[in-house]
Amino acid sequence: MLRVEGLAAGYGTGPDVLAGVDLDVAAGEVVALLGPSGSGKSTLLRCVAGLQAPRRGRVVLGGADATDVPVERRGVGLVFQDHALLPHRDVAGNVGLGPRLHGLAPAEVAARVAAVLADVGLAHLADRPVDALSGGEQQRVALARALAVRPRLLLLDEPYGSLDRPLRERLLAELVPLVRASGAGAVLVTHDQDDALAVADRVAVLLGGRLRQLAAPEVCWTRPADADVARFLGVGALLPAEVRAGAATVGGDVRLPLPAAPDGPALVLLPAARVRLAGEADRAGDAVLPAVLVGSRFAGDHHVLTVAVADGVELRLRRPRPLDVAVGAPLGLRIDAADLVALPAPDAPMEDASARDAPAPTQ
Amino acid sequence: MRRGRTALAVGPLLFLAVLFVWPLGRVLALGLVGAEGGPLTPVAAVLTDPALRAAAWFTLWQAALSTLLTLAVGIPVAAVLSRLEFRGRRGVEAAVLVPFVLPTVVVGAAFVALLGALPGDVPRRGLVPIILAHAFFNVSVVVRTVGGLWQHLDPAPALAARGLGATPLRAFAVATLPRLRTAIAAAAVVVFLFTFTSFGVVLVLGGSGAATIEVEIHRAATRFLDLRTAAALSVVQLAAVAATLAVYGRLRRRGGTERLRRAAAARRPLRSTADRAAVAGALGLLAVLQGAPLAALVLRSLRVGDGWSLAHYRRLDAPTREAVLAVAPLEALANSVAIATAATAIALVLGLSAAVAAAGGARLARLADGALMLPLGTSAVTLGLGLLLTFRSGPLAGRGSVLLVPLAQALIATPFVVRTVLPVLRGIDDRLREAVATLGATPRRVRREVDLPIVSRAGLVAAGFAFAIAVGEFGATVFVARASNPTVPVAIERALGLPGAVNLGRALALSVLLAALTGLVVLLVDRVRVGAVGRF
Repeated sequence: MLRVEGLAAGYGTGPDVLAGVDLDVAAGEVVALLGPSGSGKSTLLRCVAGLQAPRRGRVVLGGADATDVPVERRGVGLVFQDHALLPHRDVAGNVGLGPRLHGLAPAEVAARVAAVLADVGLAHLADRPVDALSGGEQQRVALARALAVRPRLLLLDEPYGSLDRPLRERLLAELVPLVRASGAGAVLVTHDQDDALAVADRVAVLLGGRLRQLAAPEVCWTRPADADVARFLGVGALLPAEVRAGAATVGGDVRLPLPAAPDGPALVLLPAARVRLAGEADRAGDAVLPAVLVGSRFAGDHHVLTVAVADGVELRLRRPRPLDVAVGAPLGLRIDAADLVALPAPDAPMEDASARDAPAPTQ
Repeated sequence: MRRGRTALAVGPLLFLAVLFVWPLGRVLALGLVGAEGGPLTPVAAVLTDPALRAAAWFTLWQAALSTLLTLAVGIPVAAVLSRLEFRGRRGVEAAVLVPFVLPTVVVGAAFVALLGALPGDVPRRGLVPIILAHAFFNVSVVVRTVGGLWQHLDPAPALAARGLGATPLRAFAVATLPRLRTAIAAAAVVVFLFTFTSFGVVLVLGGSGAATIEVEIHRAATRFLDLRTAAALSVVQLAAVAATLAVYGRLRRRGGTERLRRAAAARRPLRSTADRAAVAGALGLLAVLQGAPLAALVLRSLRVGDGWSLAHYRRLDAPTREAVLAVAPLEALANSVAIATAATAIALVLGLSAAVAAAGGARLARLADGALMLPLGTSAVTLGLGLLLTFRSGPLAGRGSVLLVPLAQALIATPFVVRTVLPVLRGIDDRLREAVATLGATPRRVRREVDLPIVSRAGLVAAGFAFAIAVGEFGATVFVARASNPTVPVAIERALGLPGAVNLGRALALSVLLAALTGLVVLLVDRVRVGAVGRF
């Protein structure tokens, strides 16, 4: 439905905010575009919508090159965080605007508005002024307005960023079936991992204007593409290691089996979700690491244990109840060797750090 | 498209060049360059004339006293309106706005009516009536400027101070007043400026002894036909106004870092007797200062001899026998409405063009925006004098002056149109346009769906405000209106200057009609609620 090829964009004469991004979205698929503030998420969305011209690269919509198609003919639906509803029109007037602009007859417009409002559960508010609605209702109207033009692609720019967590989760849960039913592809821009995990078929991780990984959530969280993605997603501990003949040495004397990794310096990722404490379903062939409990904190429906692994690298583990050992006690960590990930050691530390702090005109 | 927008600035700039820059240049030339004695002799002559020096001195301290009184009334009212929630609050807020747009001569007439009706030895002309009338007008400036900020101030710091044991007054002094200081100072400067350049009120209420620079300009130009002295006085006036505006500019650049709240969050319902007393006190102040003169105006316009009747109103369609007005008062009213309507149309076209151009951001357009504010800082009398000097001959002289009056009024009303429309236009979120564009709207259609509806609401408000200003305009109109087609404010001032109960009754009846007209327009427009009219 959408294919983005080598897209580069920037503002004025400034540096590229996007530096060669490739992305594809299938019909009915929801891709979460995840990245910190200033990573270029909104710029990418604006280029796809046609609100901004890319410096290089192509935007292909429904198989046809749309790079030079003006925004009003791209057939994309756009939902902003701040709703952007017309204050002088009521709910039905806002939702019906797109169908009217597409030249539908009044009766068709009314039918379309009624159907879409029913889909988002707001049929009873059709003749309300939009400023009389709550934030969640306004966002539903904005979504209905975008869906009413039957877009090929739905672009959602932090759509629920200003709403509180429970409402946001409910709206996200409603969103997915609506997208599936519409047959449109959807790109959801967010900086919030929970939002991305709640809706995404695939997650696109954008760091410093580059797409670092585009994969199913499970893959991103257990096999991040590089150390920056691992750090941004916070998936576990990254241990500096030296690989020799299929084994990595960490912390001076601990050896972890990494049969596929090339020789040389590397970072070994311990995904927190896959790490077990000694005594928790031990298996033969587990890799074993010594660690020290350095903290334990109650966090509502679970406890967060902080353990120090090699070289003082810390790892946070969630457990249903605290350990009955004191802080400072030694622990054994076990992990299936197949769950260890070897990542290339960055020769320049934190390559994207400067780009991540670069000012971004839109967020 | 951007070039098209910038081209919109050309009209307003041309208008300004012909009706403002050129006339003002004539005033400056005449006032600064003496005919025989060399440069600056007219100004020097004015500054050494004891009577004119006295007028300048009086102008200064009546403005200072007026400002103090206005602040003394306005700040407590602003406090009550922005901190407390009570039934009728919105009505009071709207009502406070009305005096600001009432024509100056109507306010003068209202105080003539009030002070004339009071028993005993009250001053009916001179300093005290002038100061009261100035406060009547300008309380709304303080309420809108100070209250406008106050109602959005986070009350938490003051509550924290109370929590630490401060009395309410002390909490106000340490936690609230410092944050309001800039707004209060800005309001004070604006009020000072308005009262310093006040004309209609002083002309009506000043009597023989109390004359300001404005009145002296008018007197020199129209009674003594000494245009050079009038121009020199205008130069002095302009210098003082420029100095005041410089202070104002500095104040506006300061401040603005305050964290603001939604107004409703800062207001609380009445809880104690003290709260109710505060509301009663504020409403009482407004009733005495603003309600009483208007009530007196209406009542005395109905008073004929010892009884009540509509005789003064019935007499309005009869031609006056005196040579003062060539037409029946009602004819003046029709005249006024027609002229003000034309002025409103001109001001709307110019103001909307300038605002649209300025929102585009090109340099020429920003110049037009700034330049259109200049007439606001120039006294109406100086504008009128300039127009008189410039258009004594030519197409706008004689019969052509029928056109000159609406043009003069448009010159004064246009800045208000720009000030009402431009912030609305600038405030339109670009995302609104982008969202509509993605729905399938071409750039032209986006303007029709987004910009047009929003701007036309603001334009409606601006039109109402411009009409109210134009229909009540006196300072410039009195210089250019011909005796054969006077406007209502001119007719009222003439009638107030004549002896006899019939003339007074006629002036009061006309004042009531004019006040009703402007008040109605402003209240209607206030219902549209776009931005805040009268905030500076």
